[in-house]
Amino acid sequence: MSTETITPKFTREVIERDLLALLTDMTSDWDVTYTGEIKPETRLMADLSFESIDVVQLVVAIEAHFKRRHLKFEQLMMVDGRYVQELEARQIVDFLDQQLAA
Amino acid sequence: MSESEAIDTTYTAFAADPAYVQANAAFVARLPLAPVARILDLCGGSGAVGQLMLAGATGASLQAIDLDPVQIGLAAANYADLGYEVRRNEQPFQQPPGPARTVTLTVGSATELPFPRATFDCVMIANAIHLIADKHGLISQIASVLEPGGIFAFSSGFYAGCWPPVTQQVYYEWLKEATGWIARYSADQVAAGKPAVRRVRGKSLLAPVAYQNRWLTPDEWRELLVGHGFEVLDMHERAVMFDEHSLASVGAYSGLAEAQLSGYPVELASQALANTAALALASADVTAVQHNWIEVCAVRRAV
Repeated sequence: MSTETITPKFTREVIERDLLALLTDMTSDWDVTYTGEIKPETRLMADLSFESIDVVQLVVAIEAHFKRRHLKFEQLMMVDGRYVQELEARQIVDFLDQQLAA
Repeated sequence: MSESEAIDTTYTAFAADPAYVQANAAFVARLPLAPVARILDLCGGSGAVGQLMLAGATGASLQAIDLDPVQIGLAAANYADLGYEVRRNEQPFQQPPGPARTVTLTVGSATELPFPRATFDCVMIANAIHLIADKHGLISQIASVLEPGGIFAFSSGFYAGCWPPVTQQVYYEWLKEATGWIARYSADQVAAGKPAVRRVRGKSLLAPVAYQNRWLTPDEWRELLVGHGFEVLDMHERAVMFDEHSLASVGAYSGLAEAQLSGYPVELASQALANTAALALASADVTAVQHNWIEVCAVRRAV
């Protein structure tokens, strides 16, 4: 009798790689002072000058890329009943790792 | 969708929305207005709440300030229609409060109040205090222009806890639907040989203040007020239900559209939000969302 191992479609490594690529593509022509490589610890607001609508557009791009709609990003963006003031790429990876496994 | 439709982007439509009107009336009804004689209405907009204040304080005059000259113009017409004597201050704050039933309107900032100490016995801000970043500075100035025993009242639909989870979901989907609407509109424009819609990042003045200001909890509001010499008389949270009409009318408001869809042409952003309110509600299979408001009334203690 053989045992079948089900591998998640998106591993954490894949999620991180693809998210960083999406962020790099999205911000490539932005006029921001941050010039380094986008990494998991890159801060969206402080480093990349994200505005709230930029986050929404990132969410749309993420949902299109991973072919999932209605991911509950509001749970990531609102903590203790108010908007978060900062978000690291790593937090989005954590969120997607959890959401895409659901 | 190839042609842009005309849309009212002022606050007028939402100011007349039944849910909003009812919420404002309920807020004002809780205030001890009978003895009030001199009201300062900060961020007074088109006067929707100032009118309710004057109806409750029948012997009072009102001085209203708003940054937006369009709103001041609307307020002038609205107050005049109701029979009030309306004065326009071209030079800010040169006139003292007028006699009863006069309304003085000024284009100016709520955070720069060069009135003498104790000029007013009531200061009010309806649904705008969340837009002001320096809340300590604001409350300090309000305390200065209020006479001892005067009241400071505000309402706000943006504080920690204002949106239940379903509302958060609907509002987030709303932004996604609105950006999709603009993308489709832009594609139609290109197909018709016209320029694509272009978004300019970093130019909005409203986007940083609207959603990057930290929303206070009710306890944090209380602590702030007490720290500036106020005693909180009443703090109330009100659940207001916004349906498609409510969302479409507030979405059309240019101030919200600029903050939410920063960088897009504002009128197009207004249309996008107005036209996708129904889709946002449908995404959560609801016909209305609960939006909580905080209402506060505090009295300035004698020093």
